[in-house]
Amino acid sequence: MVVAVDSVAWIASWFFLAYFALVNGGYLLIHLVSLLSFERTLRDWLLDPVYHPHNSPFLPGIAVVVPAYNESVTIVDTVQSLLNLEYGNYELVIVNDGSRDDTLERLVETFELEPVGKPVPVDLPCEEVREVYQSSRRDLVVIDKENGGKADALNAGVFFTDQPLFCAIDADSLIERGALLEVAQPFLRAPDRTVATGGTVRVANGCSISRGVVTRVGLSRNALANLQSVEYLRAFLSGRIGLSGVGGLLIISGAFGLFRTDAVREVGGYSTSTITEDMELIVRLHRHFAGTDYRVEFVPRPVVWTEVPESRTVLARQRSRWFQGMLETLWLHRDMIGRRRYGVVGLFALPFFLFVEAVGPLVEGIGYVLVPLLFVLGLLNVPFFILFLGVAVGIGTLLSWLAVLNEIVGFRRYREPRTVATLLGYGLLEHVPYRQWKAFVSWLALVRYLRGEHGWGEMVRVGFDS
Amino acid sequence: MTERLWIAFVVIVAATAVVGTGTLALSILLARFERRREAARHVVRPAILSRLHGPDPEWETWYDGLSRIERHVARRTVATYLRRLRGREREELTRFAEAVGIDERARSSLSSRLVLNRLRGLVWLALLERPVSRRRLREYCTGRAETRAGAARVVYASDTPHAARDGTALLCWDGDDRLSVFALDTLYRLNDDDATALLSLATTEGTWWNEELLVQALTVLAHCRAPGAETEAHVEWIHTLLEHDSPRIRAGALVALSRQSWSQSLRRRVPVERAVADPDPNVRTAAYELLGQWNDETSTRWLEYGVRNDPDDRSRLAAARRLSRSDRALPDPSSDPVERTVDWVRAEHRTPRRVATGWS
Repeated sequence: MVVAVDSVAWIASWFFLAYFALVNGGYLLIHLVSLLSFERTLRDWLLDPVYHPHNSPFLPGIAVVVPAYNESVTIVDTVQSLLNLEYGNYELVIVNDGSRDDTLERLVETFELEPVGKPVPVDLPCEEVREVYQSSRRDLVVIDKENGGKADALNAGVFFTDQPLFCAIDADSLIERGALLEVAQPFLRAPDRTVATGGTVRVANGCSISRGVVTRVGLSRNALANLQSVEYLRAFLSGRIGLSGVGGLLIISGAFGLFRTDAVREVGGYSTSTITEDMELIVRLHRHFAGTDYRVEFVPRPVVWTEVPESRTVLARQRSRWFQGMLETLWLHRDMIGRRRYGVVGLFALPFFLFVEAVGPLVEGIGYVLVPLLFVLGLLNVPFFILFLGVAVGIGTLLSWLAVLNEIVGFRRYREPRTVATLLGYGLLEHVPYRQWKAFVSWLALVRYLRGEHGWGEMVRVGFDS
Repeated sequence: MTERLWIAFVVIVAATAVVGTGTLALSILLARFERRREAARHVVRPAILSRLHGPDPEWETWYDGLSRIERHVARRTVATYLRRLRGREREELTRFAEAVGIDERARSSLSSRLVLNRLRGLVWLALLERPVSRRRLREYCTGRAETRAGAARVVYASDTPHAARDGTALLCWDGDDRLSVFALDTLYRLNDDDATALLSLATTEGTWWNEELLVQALTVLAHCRAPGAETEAHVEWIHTLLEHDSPRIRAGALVALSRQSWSQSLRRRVPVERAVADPDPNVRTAAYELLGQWNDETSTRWLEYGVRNDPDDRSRLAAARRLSRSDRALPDPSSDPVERTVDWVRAEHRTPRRVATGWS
């Protein structure tokens, strides 16, 4: 009997060890690809072109679509900052999604908008449009509509605009002035093939911000925000460079993504019935364009700054929503998983998301409890337990530190060695205890998903530093 | 077994420690380099500016006296200023490049085995507007699309005889590669005032070009002039594309023709009826753009026809906007959709700009 328990304990432990190795090995592979892809983009960056792209008559028109719901406090600053983007040909489409505060009034008053007073002459697949306001001096439009959620608001802008490209931006994020031109580069290189591109999302907490511009990049006094700074570097920068490099990018952040307008219209726009509409849209685009010569690309240099949660409750709510959204998207498009027809997306990206991003944290969660418990009970020997820690924590830390290395070699936003040392410290803490806490949140999210609880409440924001 | 487990653990820890230490060390080195570069910038930039306006800059002596990092900053600064300055100051900067041997190094780097070096050389040569022989460019720069684009830029910048012809030929090399936006801009600059080079090449070789390059060529032609008596013969090629299978090519051809709207005989040759009845709404929209350029009685009648009959909301809107922009009266609505379009165009306070060719 004792022998049987011992064997089961060993088999289970080896299973968890193998799964941790699979998860971290998968991430390591993605990181290595990101380093290779990065070399290619570095060459473009080193060769400053001999012309001014802003003067080129070939820049495609872009509609910057900003859904706004109860954004009264920040909306004027956001619009001011967006009106100063360095791009030759763009219009700003703010969609007031039935705000209950004075978001609309502030926009109308500040930017001297006038109502058109007539129904929109094209069909907008969204909740009823109450009025469209235009500025006669600037390329600024505000669509005032009944509340229908973020995806519904985005659809209003996407189907309203005449521009061939649109850029979806969160109202509470800060986009860098030159970012629009940079994120449009793949469209400029291959207009017929590029379907969507996305820029990097970085953590604004702790940065100095003046008039909607990040003037000094730094870390926050809040440990949770700093953990997310490293996490964003690892997952949203290095991870996406790697996935994009192999042609398997599945997420373009809703905070900053550029799309071919007719492609998104062709697939029916954003889904209003999914939790994470940004990921679902990208997977749907992959499904739609499978078998054709198309690209969904990540561009690491342009940056949008966003405020991340500084309290565990709010962060847990956000992560729970993301996890449920991923499960929902994977379930919705389960017939694509493992199918050759969908190329890299079907054979690598979706299985990677299923086994590493979705099942991974759940298996990890059990492993974090079971393996130490078996060790304490004397069913595992010291070398095995130490190796388990090495694989779970050591390789994880290696990945985070590689992401920091990638950042200081290629992007240099965090310049001070002291800040880099702090980031490395948080890179270790990301894997003990932050990762274990996230595994716990993933389990709670799974339970909520299975129960059909999709509500996620309000995200509390403390506002940007000034 | 136990030993192997320990070895695996040690490897992981060692790799992590190496990456961590390396990252920290690199950040310290880079921070130190940046501080030194910043300090050098404060010295070098004012020195360059004062020499630019002084009587005898003595570039060579001054450059020889600089430290390695100061030389690096000086080269970067000159490259930046060459992009911005014109006239006497620019000439002085090119003399600096000559005095310190930048142009010679750039020329010799064209034969480098490293693509990055070749591209860097081409960037400098374009900035310095230094001509390079056709033979040398063909020998070293035709292997890749990026180097061909760089070489074409050098040809354009140095304004050699037959620059438009040679540069255009480099860019449209084998007709298989679509152009980068930099190459597209170069093609436009080469043909801006006189598109004869692009039209001639397209007339003889355009048939074999792939669709993407063809659309790009048409996009460029929409912004270029084609003066001279031979215009009609050259433009004949665009007319044949109006019957192309691809709607993108048909739309591109219509937009390219809009640049030649001044010619009445060319106008007469455009099959307007077929264009406004095209099954693809993007082609019809391009036709309305073309008619809007004409701004005469015939085009007005066709635009009114488009407003009344186009089944696509967006194309109808484009026709109505073109009419409104030409200060022509919008037709009386005959149905609800037309009424919505007309009401909207009459009421909107600002018409959005639109860049569509090759995109939608």
